[in-house]
Amino acid sequence: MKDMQRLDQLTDRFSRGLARRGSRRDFLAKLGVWLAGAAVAPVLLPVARVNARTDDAPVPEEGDPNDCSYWRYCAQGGPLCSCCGGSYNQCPPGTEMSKMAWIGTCHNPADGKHYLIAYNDCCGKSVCQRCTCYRFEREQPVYRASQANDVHWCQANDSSEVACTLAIVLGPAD
Amino acid sequence: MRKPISKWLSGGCFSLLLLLGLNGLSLPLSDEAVAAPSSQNKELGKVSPHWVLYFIFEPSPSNSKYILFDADTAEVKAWLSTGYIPSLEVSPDGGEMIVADTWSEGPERLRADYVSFYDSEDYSFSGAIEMPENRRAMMAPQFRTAVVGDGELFLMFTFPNNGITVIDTGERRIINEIDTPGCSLLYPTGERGVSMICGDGSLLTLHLDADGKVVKRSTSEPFFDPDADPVMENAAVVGGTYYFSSYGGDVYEVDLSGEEPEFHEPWSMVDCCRDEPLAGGEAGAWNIGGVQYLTAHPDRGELYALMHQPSVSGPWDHSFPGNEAWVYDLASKKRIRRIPLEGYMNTLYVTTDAEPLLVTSGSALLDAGTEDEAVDAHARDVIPSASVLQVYDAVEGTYLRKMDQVGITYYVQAAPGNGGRQ
Repeated sequence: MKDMQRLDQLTDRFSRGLARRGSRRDFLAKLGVWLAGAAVAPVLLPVARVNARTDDAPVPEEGDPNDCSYWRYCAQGGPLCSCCGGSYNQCPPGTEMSKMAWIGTCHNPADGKHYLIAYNDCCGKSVCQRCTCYRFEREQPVYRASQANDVHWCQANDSSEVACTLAIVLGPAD
Repeated sequence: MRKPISKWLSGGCFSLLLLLGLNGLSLPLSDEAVAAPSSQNKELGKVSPHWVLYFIFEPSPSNSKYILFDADTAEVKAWLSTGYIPSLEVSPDGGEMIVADTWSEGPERLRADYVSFYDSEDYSFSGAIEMPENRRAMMAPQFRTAVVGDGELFLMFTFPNNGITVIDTGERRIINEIDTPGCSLLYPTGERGVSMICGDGSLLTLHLDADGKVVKRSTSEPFFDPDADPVMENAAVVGGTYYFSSYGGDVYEVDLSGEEPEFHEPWSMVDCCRDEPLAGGEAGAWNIGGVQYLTAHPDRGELYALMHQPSVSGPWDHSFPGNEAWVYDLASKKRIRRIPLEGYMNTLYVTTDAEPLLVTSGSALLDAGTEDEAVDAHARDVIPSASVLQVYDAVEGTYLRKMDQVGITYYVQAAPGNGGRQ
């Protein structure tokens, strides 16, 4: 378990470092190479494994987190956790954050910058069915899973039921 | 302590009731109640070419369904109850349906994957295999499963490990697991093979033997640029040729009937029409969108695409539903018909007979209110919360009939006995 946590942290740090240094294309290419290399490791992770807990750093905010037009939700694909007892970066009580996520890049109108957003699902309870929100900015088909919101991201958890979806800032994309 | 009713029935009381019945004595039951045990299930009878299966997605894992729908009468004929985000394949002889799905078990709602078998004659369950690893891909696109080798092998795409579980349909057991890192989905290829789309735009092609072992593996050069204009996953199929559309409406033809894929020159569905005046007098582009956005009629050589005008989603509107079906002649690659739809639809499917019907699902304008309200609703939620199945004459383009309150319909596909995917 500790190995898994360390791997999560490494992956998280690695993905953000790559994203800062190169273009999105470079980032994906390098991530793909790294993940292919991970095949020799005990755990194969062909998609972004994001174990973010809250935002990395304070981000200037404007807009309503309970509204689908809120800036973080530019590639959202599910009910908003902020309408379901959680927040945009915290799962509702009694649910479990997904072990995988897809990553979007959203423009923050408050400071004019682009940020990497991890869309983790919250798992283990039936779907919230409030504030359902689907947006598709820069969304990719499932053969590029780390940027696809058509994937059910609770499928690596013990319960694959999706309660709602988060939008966690990983860091600046520019 | 009360005696269980089963023991009560198996004891003397049941014998006494039976004896009374045999002696012609009247029982304190109505005629209907007496007649009920001898009633028969309604038989489906001969399959009509206008029967289709449509898939209803329910957020609750045990409420999804595949429903057999008669497009001539807009009536339900039968259905299968399935688990979460299922995928259904029909055996080549049409006699069996095979479903891969996921269930939630117990109060902890623990994941449990199955591959189940159903009889096409009466839609009854005939057996299931428990998937020990719970690795089937839970994602929206079609082509997550495939039947190859004249029905001998059922293939299931697995995720996040990106691989294939191979099932012997005769013995109903898992016979192989294949790793396919970086590649996704399953497009049947050749006699007993399958191709998968990889993240760089190439195709991985595998050919299997009767035991499900890989006998040949090859990777093509990228046939599209996923960074510039990615192809969408749900292809239309004519014979062994697959027709993919990119986000921007370019059609990529890939012939998978032989051992190696053959790629044809892409062509555009929208270049012809970018400057065409719209109904409101403005010039603008149309684009493909929805969930099941392509379908084909093999004998007529026609490709049908679900199209919409520019949406509030801007350039990322590949999931925005369509309010017209555009029909292309595959030989000339020219648009030959436009079929206006009565609402904004996510799904498009054409039957393959000589008098084809177009079946579409989504939100009807009448249900959604005004057109502006419908567009606004779809901008926020492209998955319709209240959906309708509509039927059109695919040749004349005329609206024929509908069925309301069908739930969230994702896909429409051929009913058992009406051929494979197209």
